[in-house]
Amino acid sequence: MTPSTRLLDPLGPALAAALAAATLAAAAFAAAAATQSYSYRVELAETAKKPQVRAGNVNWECRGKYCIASARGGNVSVRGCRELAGQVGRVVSYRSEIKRLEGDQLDECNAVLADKGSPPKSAPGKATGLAATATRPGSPPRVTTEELTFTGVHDWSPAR
Amino acid sequence: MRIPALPGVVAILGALCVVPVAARAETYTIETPVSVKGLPPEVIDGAVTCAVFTEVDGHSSNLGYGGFGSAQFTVKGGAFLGRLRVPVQLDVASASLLRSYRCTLYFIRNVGGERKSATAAGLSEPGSPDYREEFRRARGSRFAGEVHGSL
Repeated sequence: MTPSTRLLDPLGPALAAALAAATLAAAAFAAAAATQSYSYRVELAETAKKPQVRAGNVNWECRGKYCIASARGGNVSVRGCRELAGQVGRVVSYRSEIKRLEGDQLDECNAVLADKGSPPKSAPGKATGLAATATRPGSPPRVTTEELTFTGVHDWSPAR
Repeated sequence: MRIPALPGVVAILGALCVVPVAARAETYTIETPVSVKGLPPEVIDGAVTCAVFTEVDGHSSNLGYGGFGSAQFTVKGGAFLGRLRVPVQLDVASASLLRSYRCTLYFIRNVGGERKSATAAGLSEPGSPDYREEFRRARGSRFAGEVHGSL
């Protein structure tokens, strides 16, 4: 007798049959959910950069600050969100009829936009200290903005 | 069959070459001074994203979206001071149509080996969903997590 049948045996054949039926029902439900089609809706921070994109193996239709799609399963993934954000812009809400990405997952999704800015990234060593510059040769700036500034509370001065 | 004259062939080839060049998106460069310090050790990079608009108040209404761009900087010792050039890829036919811009400061954290980005305002504004205590601002310090203006 295998360990599993030994476990079921004391329960009696009726209960074993019920368990088997329940297992089959759960599998059938999961299969149905996997094949059922769900609507997806994404809200963007800004107007979508493209009206039609393919991301996460899904075709998206974007209009204004919203993108919609239809796909099987209803699952949402950071990977799919990153693919979409990389093409249409920052995502503020990513959900299907049954699931949604949470705040941390959206951060991870939108990090792709910062990653896309890699080429202008300052060279290692240039951005240290207080007088580094991240400018690079190329097209001259058309406009110079006011300063973006932040002062936190962490003290990085060497320990005395 | 009649073979087109050489000038005609040259004109056709020229037109074929011109179309892809004309379709290439124009880049609009925005320079943004950045000054950050006192950041927690988990911050490894920062980024500035800029969006441009064909509407005068597009920076607040998001109307007339005309393009988007991003540039990163490296945070060392919790600080960065420098000027970023943000290349904005235009989705409009000409930069002459642009009327306003908006640039936003992001911090990128290393969380368990993964890069997570959020706006400086969101991370440091109590009550924001992204707020984290370690990003609280120094008392009395100036903060500008977003700048906007006219073009």
